[in-house]
Amino acid sequence: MELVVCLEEPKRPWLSLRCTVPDDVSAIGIYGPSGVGKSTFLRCLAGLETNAHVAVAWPSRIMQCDAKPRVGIVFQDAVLLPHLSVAENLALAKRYANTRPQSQYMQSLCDADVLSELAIEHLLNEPVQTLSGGEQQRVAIARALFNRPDVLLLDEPVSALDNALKQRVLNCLCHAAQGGVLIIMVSHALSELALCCDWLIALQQGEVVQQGDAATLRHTLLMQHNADGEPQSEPLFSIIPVAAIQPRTNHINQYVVAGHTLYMVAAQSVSNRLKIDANQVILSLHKPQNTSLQNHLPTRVLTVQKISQATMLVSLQLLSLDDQETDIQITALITSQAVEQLNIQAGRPMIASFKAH
Amino acid sequence: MDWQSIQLTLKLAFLSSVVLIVIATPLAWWLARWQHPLRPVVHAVIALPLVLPPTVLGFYLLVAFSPNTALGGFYVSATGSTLAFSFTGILIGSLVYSLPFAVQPLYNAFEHLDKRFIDVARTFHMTRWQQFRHVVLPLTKSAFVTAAGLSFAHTLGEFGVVLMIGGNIPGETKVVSIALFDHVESLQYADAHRLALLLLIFSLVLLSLLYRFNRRQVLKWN
Repeated sequence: MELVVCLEEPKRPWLSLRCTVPDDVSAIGIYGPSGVGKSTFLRCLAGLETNAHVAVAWPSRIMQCDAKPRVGIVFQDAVLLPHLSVAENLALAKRYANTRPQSQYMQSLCDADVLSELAIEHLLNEPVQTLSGGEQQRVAIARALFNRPDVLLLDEPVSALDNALKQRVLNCLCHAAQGGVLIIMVSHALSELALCCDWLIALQQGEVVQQGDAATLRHTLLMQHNADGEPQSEPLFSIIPVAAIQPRTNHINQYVVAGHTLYMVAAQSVSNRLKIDANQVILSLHKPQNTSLQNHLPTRVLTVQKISQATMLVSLQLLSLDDQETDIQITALITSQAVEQLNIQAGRPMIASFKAH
Repeated sequence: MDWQSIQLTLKLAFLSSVVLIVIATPLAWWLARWQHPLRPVVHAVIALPLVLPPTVLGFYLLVAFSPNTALGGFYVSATGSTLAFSFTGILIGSLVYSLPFAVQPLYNAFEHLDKRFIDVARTFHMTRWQQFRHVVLPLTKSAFVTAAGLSFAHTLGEFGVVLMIGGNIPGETKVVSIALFDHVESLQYADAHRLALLLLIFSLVLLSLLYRFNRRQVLKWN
């Protein structure tokens, strides 16, 4: 997939982007600080900037034989029609819905599922003005989905949500992406993009500075920000791709990764990516006994990097049940003192443990 | 009571506001989007009737209505009578005279309308008419009511222009304000009082309703 967007207008951030994304990518994350033209980029892709030069070769799976794909957009501040109730806003989007959606997700879209995934069933009869910012954001996402687009552009879609809801909404977007809808999502938080996107594009001053596979680039970007000592840099984390096992018990979700079972509290809805904060990971030489920690994964140390005077970041490769290396990485933030005590160095097998929430 | 004049005035005011909404909507929409150095001039032309003596307007209209001009000539060839001293003539007069009252509220509303509402409608692939019907019209409803109401009320108060181009033909151009002037000239003060009071009360009620409606809208939208 080829994306070329150029926009030069007085009083607007200047934009000149050119990037190539593999066709099998289902969700693209646009990352960058505020004011670099991320939102303008989305507007251009949606065809809303008449002065922009936009040339996109969409992946063939979303191309309608005789027409451009339908591109939906969700603005950061929702832009719901204030004279209509929530249900009426959704009904209007449905009334003008795409009659020939290309994705299997959109062809089999079930309204009730979307409403419950986004936790907005109880809001249907509310007037739009009484909704909170987070509620408006979720209704706006539902409205965009109800229009059955082939490509969905989202501008900071979870910025006004608390963590549990954030996870829920991102899972909903993941479902759409897995079902064949091309998701392009803008955010200034790598953790949000990492949970949903498999390709990242980093913008700076209206240009692409870095792009690549999400797992690799996310780590690189996180490390850069921490190395630069940016005050607003995000805490380090890693993402583990998992498969959910049914049924869940005691409000705990069960997941499998490389043959190992993981447990996560079910307050977060079922997802296929788990975000593990690096400062929540505990490293041990042997599997801890008699501990409240629920998750233990066998790993091998890849690298040990100094983050600050007192802390070090250990990158670990996950091992499968039969001790084979997988391509899944986990990071742990520990003190230099601990590194010394346990003599942690590259190649050393370690058990990485973390709590179930 | 001059029922004929009252009926004629209501008909003139009603037709004026209907036609004005039809003309002013696209005009105000275009003006709110048009970026050009000549924009203030167009604004000024539309606002001219606010400041010009109605006699000036009436005089130029009378000139334009003459069968020697394109407009006047066309009307004569199409209908066989002249525009001056006809109902159509005073209707055209009131359209010009009340145009700023229809354009201004619509222009303000369109200019303050968040363009992203229309962006969303465009991504839904709505046609221009659907965008107008489902998004623009409901969001600017109060401006439409204000524009129609003010045009109506302002046409009721029209005097100078009608006197210049319409004269005083009962059932054709003799509106209430002209009838009132007639009564005063012929010293029929009782009749004059009745018509004056009627216009006063009617205008007061109409404007009060408009303000009431607008206040409700403002509360509703914020």
